[in-house]
Amino acid sequence: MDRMEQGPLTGSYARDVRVCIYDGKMHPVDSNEISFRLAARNAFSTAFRDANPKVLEPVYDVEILLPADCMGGVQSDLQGRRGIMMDMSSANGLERVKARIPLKEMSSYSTSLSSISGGRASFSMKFSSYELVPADVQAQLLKEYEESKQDED
Amino acid sequence: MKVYKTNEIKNISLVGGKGAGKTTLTESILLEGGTISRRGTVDGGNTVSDNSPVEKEYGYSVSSCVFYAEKDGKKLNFFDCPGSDDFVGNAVTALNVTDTAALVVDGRNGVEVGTQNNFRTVERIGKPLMFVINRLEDEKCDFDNVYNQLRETFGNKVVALQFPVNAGPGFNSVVDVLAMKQYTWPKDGGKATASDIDGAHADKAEEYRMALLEMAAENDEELMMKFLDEMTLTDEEAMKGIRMGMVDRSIFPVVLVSAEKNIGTDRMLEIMSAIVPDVTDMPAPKTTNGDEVPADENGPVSVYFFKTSVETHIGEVSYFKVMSGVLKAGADLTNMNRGSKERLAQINVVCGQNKTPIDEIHAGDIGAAVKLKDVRCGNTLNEKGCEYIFDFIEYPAPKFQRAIRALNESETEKLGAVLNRMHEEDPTLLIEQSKELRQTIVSGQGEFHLRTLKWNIENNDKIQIEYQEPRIPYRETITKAARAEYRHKKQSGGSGQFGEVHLIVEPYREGMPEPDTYKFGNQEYKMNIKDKQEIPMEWGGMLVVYNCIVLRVSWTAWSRAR
Repeated sequence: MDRMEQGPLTGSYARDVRVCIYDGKMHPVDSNEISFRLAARNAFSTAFRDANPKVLEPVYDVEILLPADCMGGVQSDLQGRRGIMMDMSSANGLERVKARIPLKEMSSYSTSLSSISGGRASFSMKFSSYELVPADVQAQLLKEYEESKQDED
Repeated sequence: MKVYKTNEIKNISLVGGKGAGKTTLTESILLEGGTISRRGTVDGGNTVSDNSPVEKEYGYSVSSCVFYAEKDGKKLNFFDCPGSDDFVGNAVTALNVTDTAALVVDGRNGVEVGTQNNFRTVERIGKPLMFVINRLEDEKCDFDNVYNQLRETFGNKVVALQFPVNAGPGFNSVVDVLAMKQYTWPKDGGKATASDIDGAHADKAEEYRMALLEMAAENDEELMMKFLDEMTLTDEEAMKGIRMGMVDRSIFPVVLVSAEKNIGTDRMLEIMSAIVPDVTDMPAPKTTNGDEVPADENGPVSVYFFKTSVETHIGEVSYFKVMSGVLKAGADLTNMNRGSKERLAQINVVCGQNKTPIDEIHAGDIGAAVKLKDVRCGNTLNEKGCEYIFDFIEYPAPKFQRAIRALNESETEKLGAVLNRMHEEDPTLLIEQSKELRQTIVSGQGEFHLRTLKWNIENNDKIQIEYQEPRIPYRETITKAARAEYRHKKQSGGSGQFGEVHLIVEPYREGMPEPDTYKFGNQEYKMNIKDKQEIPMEWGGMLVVYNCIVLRVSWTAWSRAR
């Protein structure tokens, strides 16, 4: 349980895991709660690493309202953000684009959206689900976490 | 200062794109209203409404400023709102509290992005709207073009009350089709002289007048009949029709000014005091229970606080609108949201940073009180026996997030207090302490918004801060089963520690069968479940722990599931 709060991979919360504890040894004098805690914690980390672990990232449903003439710019920008277009429609002379974009790529989106559209587009976003991150991004995250752990040590 | 009655009060928000000239117009209005004797300039950093240090530094408004002008026996309360989208929260507050939006349009550029964004904000809130075309004195100003753009963009509800005689440098005269007069101002602005319309413009004036009267008549059957019969209306009838049209948002009147030269401002105020709906013309605001509360002077005293700000040398200033009744200085009220008692020993009318004490404020009017004990933005204060609670302002969702950190860690706690205060002053700034990310996240309307926050904290509160990218709340999970064991042993003196745990982890999904047999390498583990614990995680997902015995090898295991 302790270890779930700081996942072994990147120090993030872990979820959706089933644990079967089936064996252990005790010492008549020296066994106490803290010993088992630490042992379980380490065993969990080891097993977790062996179990082909994956990082999940939050993905948001984003809805963008934009004038038709900057559609191209917005679309190519979405691709650069690993975004997936889900739906397109028009309303009140504006185009409405629905897309799914990982939160990591959303930082400063309002700034770049207004520079693409000259301030005419607006957007809203809402949490959708957790999805697996692509392998290259995961590798990079692991490296960053290892480095930051070394810094702390 | 005269006390104004409810039907003599008009509340107007000045909105418009960045740099359209709202703050400069404010200066002209104040001069014409007799509140100040000399105008400041935005460049000079001495305007009434941009009075905070950050506004002087950046040259644009970041918070709305409340002021008033008296004209023809009416009190016009104005809110000078920031133009930039990043500070839209202030405009939203102002528009909710006031009854009419005056959308200032830059006469050089016509309809800009900011014009459209502000128009949409006003439309969403559903308030009456009029256009004020500014910068008529500029050589790039083309009135006909701007007017056509307005009609194309916002429809033919847009109708001109005036057209310029000589737009461009030297602009000093307009033809006013509401009064059917030609107004001419002296070179440096000020009071207009009215004269008959010059023959050269008579036809155009007649054409505009007919268009205006037709629009005005459409809002009332009686007016319509009369207009169809006689093809004309009296000035009073026209004004009444326009006012009704504004309430329904079926007329957006257009007036002209040169804020820079103070030309047209006095006539604009006259027009506003004649055609802008007053509080009693508008639908009554609703309480949280859905009860309608008309602005009735004879009703119970109920006061809504919509803005607090901290001013140097004075402390906290709380701005309020009297929703019902007559608020008298020294009144004892109950704070409905917080349950505390409050005495409003002194009440003031406000004009930028100047406050004038006044004996009473009638329903519909705006005022301010200083150093209240326990009043937050958004609270309702009532006299005894009155149960109204107002909460009608809906703020836009935040668009821009950053993690904030004090450079000097010892100031973290102080920073927290400052941020909480900032949130009270500006409800569009959201502050969140994230335990998961181990960061403090501030969310605002845009990059400028947060940059202004940083400026304020660094210069007013003297805390050096930095922004960081917010961390991403990743989750980890596994995709196959694995087995591990670990022995924790520390028996080198003192009370020893010894524990050994063997366990298997595997991915969990809803409705999967109970664990049975696992295979790792050549060994097979058959499970016999003793005990099961399901722990839902507060961040979503599930941890399921089984306490098992392995049957294949016949020893009993026991363990801790922590």
